[in-house]
Amino acid sequence: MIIVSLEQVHKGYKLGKATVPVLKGVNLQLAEGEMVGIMGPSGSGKTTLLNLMGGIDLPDRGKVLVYNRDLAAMGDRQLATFRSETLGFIFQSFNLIPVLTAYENIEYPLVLQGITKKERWRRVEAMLAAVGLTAVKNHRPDELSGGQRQRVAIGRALITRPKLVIADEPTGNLDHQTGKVIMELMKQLNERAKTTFVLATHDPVVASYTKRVLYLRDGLVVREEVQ
Amino acid sequence: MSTLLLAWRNIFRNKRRTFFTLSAIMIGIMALVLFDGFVRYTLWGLQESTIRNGLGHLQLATAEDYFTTGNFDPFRYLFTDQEAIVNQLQARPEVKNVVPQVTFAATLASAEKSGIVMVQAVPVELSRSLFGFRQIVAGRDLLAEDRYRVLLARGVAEKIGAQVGETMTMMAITRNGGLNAVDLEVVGIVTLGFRELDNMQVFLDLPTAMEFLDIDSVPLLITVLEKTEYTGAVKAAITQLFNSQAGQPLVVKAWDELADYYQQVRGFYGTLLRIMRFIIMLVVVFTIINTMTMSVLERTREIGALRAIGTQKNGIIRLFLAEGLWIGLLGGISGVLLGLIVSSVINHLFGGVYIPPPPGMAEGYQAFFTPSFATVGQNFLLALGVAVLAALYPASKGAKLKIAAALRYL
Ligand SMILES: Nc1ncnc2c1ncn2[C@@H]1O[C@H](COP(=O)(O)OP(=O)(O)OP(=O)(O)O)[C@@H](O)[C@H]1O
Ligand SMILES: [Mg+2]
Repeated sequence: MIIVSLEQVHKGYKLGKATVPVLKGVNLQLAEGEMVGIMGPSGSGKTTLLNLMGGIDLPDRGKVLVYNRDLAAMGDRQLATFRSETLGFIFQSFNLIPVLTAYENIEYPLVLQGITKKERWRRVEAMLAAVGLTAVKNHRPDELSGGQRQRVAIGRALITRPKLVIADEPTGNLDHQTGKVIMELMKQLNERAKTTFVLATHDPVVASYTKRVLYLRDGLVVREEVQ
Repeated sequence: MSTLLLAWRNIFRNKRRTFFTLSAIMIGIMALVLFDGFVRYTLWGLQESTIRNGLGHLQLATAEDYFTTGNFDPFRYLFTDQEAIVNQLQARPEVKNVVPQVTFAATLASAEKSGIVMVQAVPVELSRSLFGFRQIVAGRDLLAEDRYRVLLARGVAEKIGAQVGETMTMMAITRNGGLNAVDLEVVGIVTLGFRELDNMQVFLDLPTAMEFLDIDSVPLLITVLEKTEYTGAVKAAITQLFNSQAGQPLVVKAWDELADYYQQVRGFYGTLLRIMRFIIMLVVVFTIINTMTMSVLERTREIGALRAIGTQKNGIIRLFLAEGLWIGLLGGISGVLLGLIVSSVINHLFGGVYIPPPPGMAEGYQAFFTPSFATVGQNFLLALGVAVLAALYPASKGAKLKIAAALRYL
């Protein structure tokens, strides 16, 4: 089943008076349960593409359909609810809430959904165990290593059991070894829960964990590799 | 993880900045508490000195215009059943004294000079309760058996060059319209604390005045109550009582209706307080807007992340409003506490502060700080409300951030 579909998507940014095009008519589709990598040089528009799929930015032209819903047709409130219920985000620089502990960071999306404290506790504890953070659950981000922080971010992204996880260079701030462990963890979660993953990366090793890699260049998907 | 808890932790992220913001609010609120305490004490002092400088708590006359022009023609307003009214008033437990009084304009002349004065005549044995603020500066007070003897206020004595022991001639129109003159011995010189009063008041015993004016009742009954707080209730009660009775119409006035100077001072301080409050609140508003705008800017990426994972715009607004609420709460509480502590230190350790004579007053005084519970609460709530209101601007700035751009922010 196709869950994400981009049709002739254009996106550019204003630079002074001129508009610099970044995406020039991208077409792509993601199937449910897939783990897809997006590669391309710096500035090729990987982040821009992921932002469009996640409804945190809108295309200038073309259609972005996620679960058959046209994101451009949704209002700000609806989009936020949609992101909270359907998506999980993982960022290169983790973007954790510094005043919250590992436990509380992972718990936060459930609070947004209005889930009861007891249920939250059950699910957060299970997630902490799954990402291997039970021992440091009361630590704040600045008391955690890079790898631990990204585990917290993964826990936060997955705690709501999202249908689609969007990861923008999830290993970009991690050393090689830690990056591999994180990729291993995401792959496991992808296989176990059938969660769809799309991740942008520079790193061929990271890409090797995915089944399909799309290459972005000059604003278009120029190549696709399936393993 | 409620918004309030998250906000609470956020305000301690930049401790130094929060400390300065809180200090600004704290000092502002403290200043308001202190100033309010000072004004309250001063107004209370003025109220009591006004009441005990011959005004009493309630005044009864037979017509409204007695209170404006009565002193120049007291004879038109004389009570016809003074005895009965005095008895009815005295029957009330809140009433301490009922003082019959006649006040009239007269000319007072020494050997060389003369001047117009206002003569106040009350029974000598009741004068203590009505003129509690009167201080003897030379000679002695009137005694119960004194007849044809006067006390001069300081300004009057200076004006006509009178000394204790001298004899003065008093001239005034009497009841039948004729001019009467009589010799009076000056037994003492007094001050009332108000320059205006010191320049015109002369005190006489009531029997002498009545004989001189040829009257056998007075135009004014002054009621002194046990406590000033009773004024309103007693006024209402006796107004109702006398309205339900046949006989001469009666008009009852409370002290504050008659104390023009007190009302002016009160209005003046009220305006001053409002201006001060406005300025302080303005400072609070800008301090908070400044701090929180910086905070929004610094946390741009975090706001982007919160929004990306599904927080509504409203959620961002609520978060920053909650931070404003905490800042207002902490600043307000510490300001109020500091204000109360400083007040009591000044009151108890330093015995108040000396205030030089305000305009119109003869002497300076020792001021204490007696902030009221109600205004302290008001100032605190004001700080709270203003803090939340000020947070609205940075909060909406935070909520309006474009998510994709915010996440890019370094
Ligand atoms: N909000 C924006 N305003 C202006 N220009 C932007 C904005 N967002 C992206 N761009 C520009 O669009 C182009 C694509 O950016 P994007 O971040 O999508 O690239 P990327 O492939 O993710 O790069 P990287 O690998 O460095 O993360 C860049 O040239 C960038 O400068
Ligand atoms: Mg990028």
